[in-house]
Amino acid sequence: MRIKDDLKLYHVGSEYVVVDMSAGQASQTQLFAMNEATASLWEAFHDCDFTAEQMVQWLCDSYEVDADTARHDVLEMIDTWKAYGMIA
Amino acid sequence: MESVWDDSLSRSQQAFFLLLRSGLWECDISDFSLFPLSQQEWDDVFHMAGSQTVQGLVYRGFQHLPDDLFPSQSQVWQWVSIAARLEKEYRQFCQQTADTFQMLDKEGLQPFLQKGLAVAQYYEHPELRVNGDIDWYLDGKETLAGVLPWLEHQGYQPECHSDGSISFTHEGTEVELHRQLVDLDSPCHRKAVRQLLGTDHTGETLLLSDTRVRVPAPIATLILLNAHLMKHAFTVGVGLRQFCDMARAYHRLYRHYDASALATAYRRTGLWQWSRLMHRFLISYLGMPADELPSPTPAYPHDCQRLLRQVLREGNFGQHAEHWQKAHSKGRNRCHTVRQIIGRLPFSLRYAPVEMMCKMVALA
Repeated sequence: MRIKDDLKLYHVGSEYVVVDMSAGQASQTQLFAMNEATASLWEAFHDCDFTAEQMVQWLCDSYEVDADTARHDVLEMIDTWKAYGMIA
Repeated sequence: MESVWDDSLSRSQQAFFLLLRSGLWECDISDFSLFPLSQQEWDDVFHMAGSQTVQGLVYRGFQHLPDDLFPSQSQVWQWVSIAARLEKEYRQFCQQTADTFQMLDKEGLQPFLQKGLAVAQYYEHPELRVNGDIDWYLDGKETLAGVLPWLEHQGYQPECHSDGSISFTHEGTEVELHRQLVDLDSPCHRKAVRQLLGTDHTGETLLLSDTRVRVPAPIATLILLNAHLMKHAFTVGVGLRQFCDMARAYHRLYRHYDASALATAYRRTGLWQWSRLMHRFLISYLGMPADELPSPTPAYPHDCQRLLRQVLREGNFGQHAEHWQKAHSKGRNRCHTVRQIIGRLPFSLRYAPVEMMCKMVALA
């Protein structure tokens, strides 16, 4: 899997927002909000190929979370990213 | 940072200037007493940033606030969409500038980039500067008559203008070709520019989309930005973006030019009195460090406040003035412009008498 090129993460105050830079005019409906942990994952994997298991391992190493919880969260997040066309 | 606040500024306007200065210099906000702003005040700031085409700077500015003084989430998203749009436009603009440079250079027209992206590079975040059109100065061309059929042959529909410049549209962006590096009306001042700069305006380049584009040398850049600012301030109107451009140029080029030579050039080109007023404006409202300016004697605060009111009322190139919105047709707008210039003569004649007289002759 790979996060699509031309998606850019903006960190403004406490907000993390992803914008599709390849689209025409950026309307607010094309923005995708993230929490801090998801944004950290994005930063770690946005420019490389990755698997869900690599993300799970990264989450376990970075945060105090067990593998089952991390796997559940990662799979759910990947489904959402796919649904929004953010993964190539 | 020296500042002279105008007591007539509203809370929203004062907050707007604090954010603008913070974004312009990428520095902490000097006074939090106006914050938090209400939803309406943030809307006002957003509107002012748009009408003055400084959205990118204000977007950078409010990021120097602590999180609890931020605008609402929906307003933050609004700013993020603007920032993303500006970044996209910047990438396109770089490519279009590089493309048109290659096209003109290949034809042997010796193009120099004026303003636009050449100025954007003076900012901490060039990608967040609002860009207008692409201006090229064609070196050594007494007339652009021969360029017209060549552009038509390339498939463009060029237009000639009364000042001898030519414009055409390239991939949706207006491109202008000029035969004057510095936009002054007085023949004496034009001659002075030619004598002062000689061939000394050449030699600098800027890398855009893998293309090395020629830009004017520092002293020529400052004179052309200054003359452009003055011309618009005394004619159709000018917005804060042009003052920000001037401030960033002074800041970035500080110690890259001979300040006494620039002061002499301002005197000989009729820009000296105006420069004193403009410098006062930069210091008072944009927080420009006075020691980075070539002239240490700024003009009276009273006229500076008058200029500020005009800038806030009219916005970018006067496009937010009431008359512009009511009468946006070429003929009617020209009448308004002439009336506007005449109405400003008592003010403008104090600062640029020769230029304004020549402007009136040219208009007649």
